Amino acid sequence: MSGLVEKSSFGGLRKPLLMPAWVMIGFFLIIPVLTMLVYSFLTKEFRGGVIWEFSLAAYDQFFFDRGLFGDEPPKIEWTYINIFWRSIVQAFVATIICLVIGFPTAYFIATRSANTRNIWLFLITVPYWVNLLIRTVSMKFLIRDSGPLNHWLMQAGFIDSPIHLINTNFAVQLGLFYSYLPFMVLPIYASVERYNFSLSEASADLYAGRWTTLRRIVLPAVKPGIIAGCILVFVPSLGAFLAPDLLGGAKNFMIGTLIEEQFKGASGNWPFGAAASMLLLSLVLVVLLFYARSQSKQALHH
Amino acid sequence: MTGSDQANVAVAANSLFKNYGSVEALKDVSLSINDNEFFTLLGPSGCGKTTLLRIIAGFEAITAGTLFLHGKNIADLPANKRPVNTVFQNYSLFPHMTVADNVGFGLEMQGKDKQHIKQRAGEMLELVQLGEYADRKPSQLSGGQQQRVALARALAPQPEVLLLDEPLSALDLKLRKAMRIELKQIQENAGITFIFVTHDQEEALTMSDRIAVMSQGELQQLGTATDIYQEPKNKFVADFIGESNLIASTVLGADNNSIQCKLTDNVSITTPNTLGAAPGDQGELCIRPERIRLSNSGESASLEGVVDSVMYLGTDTQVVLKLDDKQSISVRTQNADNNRAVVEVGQRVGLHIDESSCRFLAG
Ligand SMILES: Nc1ncnc2c1ncn2[C@@H]1O[C@H](COP(=O)(O)OP(=O)(O)O)[C@@H](O)[C@H]1O
Ligand SMILES: [Mg+2]
Repeated sequence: MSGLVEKSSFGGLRKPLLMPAWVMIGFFLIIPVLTMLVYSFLTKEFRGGVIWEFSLAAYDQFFFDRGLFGDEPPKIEWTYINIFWRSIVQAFVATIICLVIGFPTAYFIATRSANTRNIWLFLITVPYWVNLLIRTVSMKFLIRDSGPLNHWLMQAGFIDSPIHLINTNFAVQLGLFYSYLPFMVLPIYASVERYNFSLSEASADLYAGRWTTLRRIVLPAVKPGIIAGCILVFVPSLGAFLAPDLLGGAKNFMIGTLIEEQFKGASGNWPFGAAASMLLLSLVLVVLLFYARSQSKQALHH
Repeated sequence: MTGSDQANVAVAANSLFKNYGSVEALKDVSLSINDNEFFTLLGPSGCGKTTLLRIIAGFEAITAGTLFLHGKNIADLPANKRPVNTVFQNYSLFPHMTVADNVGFGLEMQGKDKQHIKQRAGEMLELVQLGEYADRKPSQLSGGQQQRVALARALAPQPEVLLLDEPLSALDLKLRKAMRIELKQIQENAGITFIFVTHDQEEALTMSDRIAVMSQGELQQLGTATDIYQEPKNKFVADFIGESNLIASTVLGADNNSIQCKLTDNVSITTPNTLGAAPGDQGELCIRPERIRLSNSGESASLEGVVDSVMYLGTDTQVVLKLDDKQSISVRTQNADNNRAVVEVGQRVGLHIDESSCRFLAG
């Protein structure tokens, strides 16, 4: 109904009005992705950059090991696949942690009075007014062996010697969690805020306890927010390079760092970086596709 | 209250108070609701009906007072432990569950086995004539159908008391009238105490065994439909239930059985002394418009007036007259046949008031 009204009232202006959106999508999405796609099929130049010659070398290097001189029969190359796998696990764990902490936070905020809600939301987003690099470096400073965290813990007598946090998986998780928590909180908050709490009352009225009500009534209702939050945390966590690089060190290499290195300095390999990016993008698209499929299946049920 | 009485009392509230901050939503409300009764809370919007219902359901804590359900103190019992179910004003059906799962939810939470749940949910849906809709989602039903599902869902666990918060207010008039009869029948067949909230006095009068009239958080009067219509205790009840002419008056003389009240300077009315008025009391005389008969000026009448307006309303006609002291009075005459006396604006007519139906309301 409203769609019809909009169409007719904008009339012939529809196309010109949509132009900025198309320009945006073209410049910031289609052109960069196509560039990457093309680069991933080119030959590398040794000092960075590409030679305009078609080649599958980048993908070959990603998946196959042909020995030092490239003349042995191909074996599966596990290095990069392992990095991908580790990244997926890291991103998955980061998403779960964000969900476990973000859901109660969002629920808490959404159930405050209208005025206090805005204060809470503001507080949640305040750290994000500071650049991610600076935040990650601060985190590194905070948790290093001689940093304030260990200092306080030792002074308070909880520990005798510093806990070694830096360059561990835990530090990477901490960094990812800190980087992306609001992406979990905000969409869940939005859906809890829209949730009709009289459904919870109806559930209690029909003898359900608090946890049952949460599981059977609240969660299904706010599921879209949870899924959106999970995607918004999982996708950037998968490609993150600051937290793994600064907090995880060489051992905890993730895809983001791998790609970043290919475009940095003379040791880089642009086609390989582009190919890794394309593979990462495909992975993300597969995740999103599954999500879209499950959503439309649900829509069919309704 | 003796022990034997208590067995028949479903809900007993004593001196209930409820404050929301500085808002006093309930002020000293005491009432007892009998088993198998169709009990209605009636009052204008904002008078505290929903608050009282939510207190009985367990969604709101009591500020002061006591609350008993079948003799058991339930003031501190959480909602999910009270054998009481609610039909919510906006239905509050679970949108992601089918109709059948909605209806079975309460039984499921009570730990009943699957077979029993399925059977009982089916029975309940048959009861509200929605047997074929078991597998639909609530969003695929009309408002009236959703309302029935809400009713079936609340009835399924066989609560001791069923609470209904303006369940018919969202339906159109015709459906509303049909549902009134149906609800009443369901209540009689199920043998469950219904506490029904409405702001619609017609709804209250037609369905209820007893009605509690509320205003501004206070209980104004409790009684059968006939009681509150014919024996209103105060001006609010007289005004809110049906129509009435409320005419400022003074008691001229009184004995145990009857009182004489001033109507105009030279006309007084003798009414039953049901509320214990004494000579000199100031207040209002409540005269129901349908208890006044009009006559053409040929017939002798103690009271006369001039017709100010005539409104044809289908089943009856409303005539507003000006008495000689400029006091306005409204009269309803039934259009029972085609040869009703036709009055015209400006015509002088006689008024014959059924004095025994009038009540003097002090205050
Ligand atoms: N949660 C609440 N917070 C503050 N005031 C409330 C709340 N609920 C109800 N009230 C107030 O209590 C009074 C009674 O409300 P309610 O019981 O909903 O009336 P009704 O159902 O008769 O329309 C109203 O003045 C209303 O504004
Ligand atoms: Mg209400």
